[in-house]
Amino acid sequence: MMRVFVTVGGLAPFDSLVKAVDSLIGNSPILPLHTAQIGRGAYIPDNMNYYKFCQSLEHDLRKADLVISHTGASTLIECARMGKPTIAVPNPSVVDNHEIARYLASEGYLLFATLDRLDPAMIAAESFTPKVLCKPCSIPELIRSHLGAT
Amino acid sequence: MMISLVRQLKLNNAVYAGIRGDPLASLNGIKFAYALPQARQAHSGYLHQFITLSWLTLRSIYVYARVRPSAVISCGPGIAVPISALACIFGKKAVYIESNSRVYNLSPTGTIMKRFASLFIVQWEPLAGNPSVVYGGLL
Repeated sequence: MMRVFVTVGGLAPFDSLVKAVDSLIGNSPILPLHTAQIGRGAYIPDNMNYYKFCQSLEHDLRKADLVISHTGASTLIECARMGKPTIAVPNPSVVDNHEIARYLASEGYLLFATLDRLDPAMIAAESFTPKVLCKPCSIPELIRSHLGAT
Repeated sequence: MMISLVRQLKLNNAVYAGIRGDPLASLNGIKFAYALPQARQAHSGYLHQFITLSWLTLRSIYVYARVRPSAVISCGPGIAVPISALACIFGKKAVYIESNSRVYNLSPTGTIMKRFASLFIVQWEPLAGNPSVVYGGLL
């Protein structure tokens, strides 16, 4: 069975996503397989382990077979770097254009789905092989040379 | 993003300022010497925004006067604007790294920071076509 990890980030609660996944995965067998990071949300999932915040999501992301995430850039980038099958779901109560999620989806790094399309997206995710994101970073060098030029 | 920048830059004399009560910074052991109020909150009225921005500006002037930085480095949030503007006014360097969530369009903060930044870094290729920005790859 697929191990699902849901993450909603730290800024805004996203109970509707936790609730939707909780009901879609249904009752877990004896061992709870799935985990949710619920942040500032109030909804407590019935079929998943959960916690509010964590220093790093890396452990839970690695362990999961499928990540269902809000459209937070850092989490999506982390998933794409791991090549983890990921569904990005925009939070309807947050004013944002979600361009990072749409961009990563259009480039084949992850899947993008609205809440009402989550069910088909989870089925599509089973046969989805994401590309692995690899972008070298020269920001520290750029900053050092800029500051050093004083 | 800021946390990974702090780790990679390894600056010796850096003074950190961030948003008050940032849960991730404290979890990662970053101590802010100065905590600034959040610049914009979703769904807040104009009066509320005016007051928080004024308060942020006053706090930023205080922090700037105390630290007298030789350069200001910031990424993403709106709290960076007043203190970077001060650096610009006093002829110091202001480095701005656009949020990694911006692929096609600059953020509102980024649009303002184009006036003040001496080095403006973007993290995605589609933005690299903008005049006077430098593509730096992903933090």
